[in-house]
Amino acid sequence: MINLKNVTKQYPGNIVALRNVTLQIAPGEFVSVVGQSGAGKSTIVRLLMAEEPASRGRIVVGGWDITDIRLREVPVLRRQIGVVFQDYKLLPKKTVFENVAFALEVCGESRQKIRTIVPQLLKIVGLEDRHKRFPDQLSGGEQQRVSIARALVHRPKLLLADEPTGNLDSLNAREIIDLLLKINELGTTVMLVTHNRDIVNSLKRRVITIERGEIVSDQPVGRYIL
Amino acid sequence: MLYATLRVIKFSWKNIWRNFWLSVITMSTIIITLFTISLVLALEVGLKQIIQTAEKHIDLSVYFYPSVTEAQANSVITVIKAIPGIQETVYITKEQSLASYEKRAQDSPELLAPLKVIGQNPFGAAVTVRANEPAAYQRVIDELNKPQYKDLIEGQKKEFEENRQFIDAFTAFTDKVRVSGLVISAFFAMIAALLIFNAIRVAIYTHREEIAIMKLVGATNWFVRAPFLTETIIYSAIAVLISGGLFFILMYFLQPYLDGYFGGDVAIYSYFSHNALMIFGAELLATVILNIIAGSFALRRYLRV
Repeated sequence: MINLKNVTKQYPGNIVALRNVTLQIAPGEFVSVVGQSGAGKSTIVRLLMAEEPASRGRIVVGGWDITDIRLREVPVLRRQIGVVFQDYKLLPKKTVFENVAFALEVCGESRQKIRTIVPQLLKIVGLEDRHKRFPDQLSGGEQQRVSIARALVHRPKLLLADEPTGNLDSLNAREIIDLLLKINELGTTVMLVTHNRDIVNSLKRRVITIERGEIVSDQPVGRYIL
Repeated sequence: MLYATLRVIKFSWKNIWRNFWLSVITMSTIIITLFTISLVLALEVGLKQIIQTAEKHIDLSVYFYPSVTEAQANSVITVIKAIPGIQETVYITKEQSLASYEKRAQDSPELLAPLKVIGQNPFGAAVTVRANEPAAYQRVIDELNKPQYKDLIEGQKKEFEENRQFIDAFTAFTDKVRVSGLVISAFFAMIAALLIFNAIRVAIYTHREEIAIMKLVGATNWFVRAPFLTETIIYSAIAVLISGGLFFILMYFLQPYLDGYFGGDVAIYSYFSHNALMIFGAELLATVILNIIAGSFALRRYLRV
């Protein structure tokens, strides 16, 4: 599903965010990418989303070499990747339903399709009874669920979760992780970027550890070792 | 595609309503610009109609000596007809000249008395010349000033010269009005373009969260940009409608005064009624092009897709 080969990301001022990173993630895997702040975890997410290009190396997502992706091809890639962030990125003046529907609207989907898909997704994330609420009427965990529902609108093969539990208490964090595991069980590859030790240790899944832009550990059933 | 287009229009309307007062100011400036352009055009049309009317009233009368025979007069008329730009010549015989004088003087016996004293027709024949262009009259005068006509032609009516001076002065005035109007219009158009640029910049800023999410979930670059460009088209369309409406109302109430002053020679309302589609269509096209260019600059500068 993901193939990074000798990827380096260098920013102006000779700042190296990733150095010669090589990794493969198979379809259907649940992988945690851990590391301290500034280690380069989020840079991997940005490269996979084609938000910025790699300085060197090759990036392949779902068999598509996106190393030199064209600007007009980026939306096509983004419909194949679901992304959730720590800050949820919800629109405060839209209801739960509208926030999820917005992702379909802007991609030109029909009203009928939106009416079919959105309730299904809200059911998956357990918010079917809160579809009329606004984000500020929801808990942090519920807001993140809306964000996950939105990330799933295009039925992506890959879900990138960049610190999805960063703003949540342990109970809500656990619920979000359980939801990600459920999505993974449905066949979606999940890359969880986090520095939450307890969660990573409880998952007992593959863990890739990054330190100063380099992979220092890649364990099939790993623990948070930093 | 239909859904995408409808949503683009919906998002554009939301952009306009969300920054309502900025939209009002932007549209007002476009309206002022278009209104100024329409006024300049109306002024030019009105002045042209005045000039055309004045030109219709111009003719040149050439008077022959009473001793000139009809054959001699005809030879001069043949020469005049050959001059480029001459529309028609009307030959007036000695008898017609006399009859015309008697008719004009029928209520003034003191003017008719000298005719009785003379006892014969003192008038010579004449020819009235009409030309397609004012310059042709000068060519006739230049031709008739040649020595060979000295013993045939008594004189020319000087009204032509006065009319010509009026038309020349008026044409020069029209040119000045046109240039001044274009300068003012260009000035307003520049301000309108800057305001459009600013309106799009503000719209991008107020929608930054939505834009970020659009990009995140895979909206095409076209879909992200299109609402902003559509917004400029909506600005243009509304501005053309309002400025056109205001202009027609103004012309509707102004026309009776113009009719009273110029006796129906200046028909601006009628002109704009007949050419409304072309004039306001051209204004809409020009405004849309200008606004799309200004909007595109703002998008290129502030929106990274």
